[in-house]
Amino acid sequence: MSALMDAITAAFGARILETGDFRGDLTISVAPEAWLEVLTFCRDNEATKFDMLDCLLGDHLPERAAAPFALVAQLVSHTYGHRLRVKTALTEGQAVPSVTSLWPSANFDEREAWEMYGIGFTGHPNLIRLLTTEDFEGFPMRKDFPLEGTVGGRVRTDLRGKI
Amino acid sequence: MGMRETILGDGFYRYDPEGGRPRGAADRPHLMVRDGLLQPALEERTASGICLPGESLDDDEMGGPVQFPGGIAMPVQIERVLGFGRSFSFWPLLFGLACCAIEMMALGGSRFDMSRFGMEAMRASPRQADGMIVAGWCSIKMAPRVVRLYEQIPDPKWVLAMGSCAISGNVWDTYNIVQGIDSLIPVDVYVPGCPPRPEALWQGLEMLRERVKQSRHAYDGLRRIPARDVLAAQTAAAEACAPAAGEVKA
Amino acid sequence: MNDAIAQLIFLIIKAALMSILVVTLVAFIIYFERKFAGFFQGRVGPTYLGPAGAFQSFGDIFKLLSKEDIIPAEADKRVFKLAPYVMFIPAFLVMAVLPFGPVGGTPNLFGYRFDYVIANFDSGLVLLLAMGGIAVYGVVLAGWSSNNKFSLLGGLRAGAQMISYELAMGFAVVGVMVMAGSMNMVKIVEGQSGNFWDWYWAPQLVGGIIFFIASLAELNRTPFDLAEAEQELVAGYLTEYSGMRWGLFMFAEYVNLVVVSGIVSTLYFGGWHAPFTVLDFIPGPVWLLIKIMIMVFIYMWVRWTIFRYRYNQLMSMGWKVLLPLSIANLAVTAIVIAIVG
Repeated sequence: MSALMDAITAAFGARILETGDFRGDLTISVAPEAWLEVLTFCRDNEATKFDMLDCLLGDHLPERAAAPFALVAQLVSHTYGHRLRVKTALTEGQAVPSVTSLWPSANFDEREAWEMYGIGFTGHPNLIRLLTTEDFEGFPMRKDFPLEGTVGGRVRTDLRGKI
Repeated sequence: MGMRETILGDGFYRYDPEGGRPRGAADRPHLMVRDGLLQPALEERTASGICLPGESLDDDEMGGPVQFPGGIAMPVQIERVLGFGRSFSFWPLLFGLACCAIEMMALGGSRFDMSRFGMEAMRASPRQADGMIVAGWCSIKMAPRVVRLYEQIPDPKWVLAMGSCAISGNVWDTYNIVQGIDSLIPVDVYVPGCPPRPEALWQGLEMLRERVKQSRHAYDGLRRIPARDVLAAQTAAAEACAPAAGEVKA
Repeated sequence: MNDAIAQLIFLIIKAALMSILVVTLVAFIIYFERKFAGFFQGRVGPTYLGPAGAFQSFGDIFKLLSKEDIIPAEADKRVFKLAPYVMFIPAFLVMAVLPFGPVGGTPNLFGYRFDYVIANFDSGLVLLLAMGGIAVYGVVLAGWSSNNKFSLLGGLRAGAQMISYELAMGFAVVGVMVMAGSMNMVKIVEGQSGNFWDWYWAPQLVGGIIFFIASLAELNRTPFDLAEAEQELVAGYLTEYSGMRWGLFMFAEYVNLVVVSGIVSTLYFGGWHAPFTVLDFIPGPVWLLIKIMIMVFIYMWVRWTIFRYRYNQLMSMGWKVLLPLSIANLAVTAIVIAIVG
């Protein structure tokens, strides 16, 4: 294991639920409760120094009945040039603290994760729909969402004077 | 069937995991508009100057027809001269939605050069444009903007739907894509392809120029233009007179 | 018929001919612009309407005349209608002070004296600068009255740009004024009589370049066309204009192009003088027209070759480079004239 993983496991110990190393592609899994704490550590610690949130995305795994949703953050450090993937598993309706205070770029990513998967974020400054219309119903990237048909949204031609 | 009634009731699909999901052309509102079965958001269409056959609008709501002072309609000869001028000066809106726009740019470039017919002046402001090339798929969030841009273009105007997505939604029969831009704005010429090559778009523009030359518009059947009504009445009167004269002669 | 009536008739004929000539010229200059754009970009440009597309502008005029005329409901309607004319008329007025042939002297036409200038008065250059100042009002009024944020931003940009470049332009022109000892355009041209090395472009090389750059900004042409930056401002102060009102703005822009080309030719390139005195048998108006067309080509060349400045670059160039340079040019010119005489 690399010095990076050593630093993280030393700091959190058993609270890191799982670690992975696929051809140098490092992954850790944490509990939703430790999400903000781990990411804060990753950004601020001298050994990790992840100054950039590459992307933050949701996932839907219906076969995982206990916690069907996943939240994935890809971190990049410009100081050391290393990367890290941080994962957490969520149940339906479970919210995690927003990381917009750590990386402002998380704003849009979290909005998208919320509108596509219904993953809530507490403390997000502006959690509204990003890509679909405001009155869209449903979370279109969930696996149980209909694949065909113009479902959920509608063309709001009545709004055309206000946009 | 419950889903269908939901659609008919308020004119849009609603996410309804229990009640099945809409499938096939019969469930798409814009096709029903064409068949006259469904009239979604009729108020909105009326406000935009587009109305269904059999409906009429006040002149004020239509942005005004071309008329000389005193309410005299435009003579057809002048209309033809203007149509000839317009056909060499069709300025599309500088506007692209998706990958088809790249092919549209290729048409503006040096290999295909749409400026040969005076079309290179793509105006960024819809006020100065003569029509739209709807190049690419239109998401339902973008749709109100597209309609608004269409409405801001002064009369007379023409629309070309470029690519399968603008025509029918292509493979994206999904939650966020308008299934054919003709459900929202009247389309003159359809150019199929994914994306169409610049030559195909060029043929579509030639067909559009032919329509421009003849002063025919996609909205002809959808809204009433008083000048055109006068012309039609005159033609009808002339046709009514002509056989009568023939009988006298016989 | 006394001389005053004859001069009045000549004046009307000159004014009518000049405006007809400029209007026709502008129609073809718009065609040239599109053709040159094609040339510079490896395309062919308009080809099908008329021989080699020569009647392209007339198709555009037919179309623009028949377009629906939209005035936004929230616009200040009177100002909105007025703005194109505020832009259009000053552009034409400057043509009055451009001499296109010899002025004064013996009677040369039907026993009367025919002056090859519409208005021969001592403050011709001031009229030029004043009319450039009024054209700013056209732009700002158009931007303000449209009640559209893009129009307003475009109008303010154009206004700020034209005002800041007018200063450099004014100081550059004063250099010519000092050399000719007069503000009268006729005197300025007479001061340049002789071969082409006697023209003012050689002693006023710096001033001429400053004037050329500033005139690009005055004309709102690339590289200074920020007022119409389509990426940022839709169509700038023209955003809400449609049909022939927009056409008038475009028309005024090209009339301005002709006029400014005429002024550059007059101030720096000898006006109606032939480049060599042996060629004096060719009449002055022909030389002036040739010079104007060459200048118009150079303006188009610049437009389709150079890309647009950023706004802060534009402003810093106007205030930090051109203005000090033009004042230095004026000072040097004045000192040299005072010493040499």
